[in-house]
Amino acid sequence: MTNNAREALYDSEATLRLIDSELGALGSVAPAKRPSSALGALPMILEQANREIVGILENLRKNKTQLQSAAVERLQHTHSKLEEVNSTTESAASGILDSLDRAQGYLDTLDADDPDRTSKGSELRDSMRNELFSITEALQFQDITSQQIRYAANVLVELEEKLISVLHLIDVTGLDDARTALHDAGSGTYDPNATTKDRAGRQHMADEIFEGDQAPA
Amino acid sequence: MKFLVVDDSATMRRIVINSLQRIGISDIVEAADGAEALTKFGPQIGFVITDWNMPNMGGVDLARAIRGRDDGKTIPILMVTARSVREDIITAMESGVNNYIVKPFTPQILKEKIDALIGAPVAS
Repeated sequence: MTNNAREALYDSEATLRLIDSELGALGSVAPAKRPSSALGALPMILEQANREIVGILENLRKNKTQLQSAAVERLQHTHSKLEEVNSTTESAASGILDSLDRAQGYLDTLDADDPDRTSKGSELRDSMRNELFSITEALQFQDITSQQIRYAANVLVELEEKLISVLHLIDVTGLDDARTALHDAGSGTYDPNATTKDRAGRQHMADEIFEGDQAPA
Repeated sequence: MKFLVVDDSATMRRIVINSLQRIGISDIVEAADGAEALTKFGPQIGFVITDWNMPNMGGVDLARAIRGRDDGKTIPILMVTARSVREDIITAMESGVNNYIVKPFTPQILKEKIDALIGAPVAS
């Protein structure tokens, strides 16, 4: 909780205590004996309570502005950074695949010059081809990590929804625009459990299920 | 035999296609999601390799749609996906998928599954 929020809470409690105390004092006096001065003081008490409430509302509005700028805008910024990471890694992976294709082409050209594979270079070319393919295989990380990033980005959208709901309780001004900005930024499908870990174990489970050991009833 | 490779990630499509080419399969068409795959599906397609999570139409719905067609009752469907929760794998099996590979995959696993589904080893 921010200092302004604490102050607002303290102020509201103090105001309620003041009203409670004044109403209690009025109620403890028997109607017949109630002094006219107590009733006469009521407008002043209500005016004071009104001032307190206006002050509290003003504090809440300030808090709303702070929350909107500090929290909502930061969520949106983080979301956009995640989208940028996804786009950059996808573009980089595509560039690496292009380079690998070209390198593969150079090897094919060298192979064409040595159709009988008699030179010492043919073994080296085979090894190089295997290495190139290992790089291609390793690029699967991009698909998995992009799903993990999309999941994280989606969590930010949910957080923003909840935060905007809280801010709506205070003041609705300008919040619909803020919501639209993040929702429009979200895209793509993902698996929240996507991982690169324990490939063998997960494949074994799939094999068991498809081989009938764990077939559904 | 023509292979249909379906994945919304261009990177993954290229990796799957490279893996197929490495084991001697070069007759390949590709699609970015289930809906596009259905427009390319027909009697000329002999094998489907599909991802699960895709926009417009995912792999499970694609498998159901293919199984619902007269020319898709017996075609081998191999799912290659990051989803590996037990319930998901069972859902895929119930949708008509014949076998399942979890990402990241190795070319060896891909070859084994294809060999098993077409009943004969593909050229390597």
